[in-house]
Amino acid sequence: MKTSPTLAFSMLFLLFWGSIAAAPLVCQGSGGAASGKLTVPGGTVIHLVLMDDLQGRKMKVGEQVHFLVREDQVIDRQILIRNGSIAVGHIALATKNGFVGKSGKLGIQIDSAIAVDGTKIRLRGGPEVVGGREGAVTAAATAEYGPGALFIRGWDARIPVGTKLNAFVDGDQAVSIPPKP
Amino acid sequence: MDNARVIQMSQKGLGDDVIIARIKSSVTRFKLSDDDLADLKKASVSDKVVAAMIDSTRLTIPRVQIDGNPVQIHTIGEQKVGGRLGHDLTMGIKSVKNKAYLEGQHASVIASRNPVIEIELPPNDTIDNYIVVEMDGKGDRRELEIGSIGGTVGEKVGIRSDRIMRISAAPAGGQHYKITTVEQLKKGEYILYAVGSADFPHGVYGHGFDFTVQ
Repeated sequence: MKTSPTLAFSMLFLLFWGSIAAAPLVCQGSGGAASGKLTVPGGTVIHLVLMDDLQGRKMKVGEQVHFLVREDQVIDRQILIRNGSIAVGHIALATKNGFVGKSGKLGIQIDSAIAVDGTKIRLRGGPEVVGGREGAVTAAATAEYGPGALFIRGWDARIPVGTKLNAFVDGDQAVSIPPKP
Repeated sequence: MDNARVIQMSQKGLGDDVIIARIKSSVTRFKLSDDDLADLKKASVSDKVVAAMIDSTRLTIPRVQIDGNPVQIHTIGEQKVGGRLGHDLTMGIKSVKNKAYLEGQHASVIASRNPVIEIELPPNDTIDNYIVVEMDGKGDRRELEIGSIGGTVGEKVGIRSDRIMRISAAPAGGQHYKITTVEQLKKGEYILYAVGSADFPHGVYGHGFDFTVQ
C-alpha cells in the first residue's frame, strides 16, 4: 500500500506533538529544569559532618542526631541540597561498656536531609562502632592476676563531633526548583 | 583569600609586592582554570601576581580524599611497649611489641568497606610510597606495630606484612591517583601510611591519613 506524502507528513506531525504532550512532569538528570521539579536519584552520595558528640553510655536508642551537609548537591546545574543544610538521624544501637573488658557499641541511622524547597529527602546508611578490642588483654590479665581482673571495664564507644561520613539517598526523590528572583 | 579578593586589591591600586605579600601570608582558595586566568587578565591583575597565585597552590604534602571526604595528614608521634604480659606468661616465647599510636578511638573520617582513596601527590613524590595499613583499635587510641623484640623471632623492625592491605592504584591524570583495595576491608581502623616518613631519633613514627571503616 502506498501512502501519500501529505498523509505521511500529517502522521509525523501528530506523533511529534503527541510525544511532547506525553512528556513526564518530573525529570531526572538533564533537561528537567523547565518542568519545575528535578529528581535526586536513589543512591546519590551525600557528604555529612556530625554535629553532636556521641558517647555510647550516655545515648539512648531513638535519640536524635544532627549533621550538616558538607557539599552542595547539584543536579542539572540546580542546587537541590545546599551545603550547610541540616540532616538528621537517630541512635539505632547504644550499649554500655561493661566488666570483663566488654566494650560498648554505638550505631547511628541517618534519616533525612532538607532540600532547597523544604522537602525531606530520605537517606539511608550510618556507621556502627565498638569501643575497642580489649578481650585478649582481659583474658591475659585474668590468667595473671586472677578473678580480680574480671572487673576490668571495656571501652565506651564514641563518635566525636566533626566526624565526616557519607549517607545515600533512599530511592528517587523529587525536589521543586525554587523560582529565580 | 580568593580570586575576587585579589581583583579587588588590584583595582584599589595596591602594588604587586603588597598583594603578593598578602597572598603569601593568607590561606588561599584560588580557582585557576584557563577561564579564571582569563578573567584575572581582563581585570588587569599583573602577571607577577597571577604567578604568585599559581605558586601558592603548589602542593607540599599530598591532598587526600576518602570516599569524597577530605582527610588531614597526621603524624604518628607517640609510642609504647606492649605485650609484656603475654611475654611473661609464655616464658618469653611471645615477643614484646613496639607500637606507635594515634590518639582517639576512631578517625575523623568514616569510610565504606570498599573505600575509594583519591590522592594528589606533590612534585617529586611517587605513589609507591603509600600503603594502606590496618591499625588496632584500643578504646582511646589506634595502634600500629612498628617492631618486636624477643620471643622466637629475635628482633624485627617495620610494619607487619599481614597488616598491609593489598591495593591497586590507577593514574587519574598528572599527580592524581585513585587507590582501591583489592579485597573488601573489615570493620576497623586504617591508615594510608607514607613509607619512609618515620624519623625515629626525633620521635616521629611516620605520617599518614587515617580513616575508620564501617
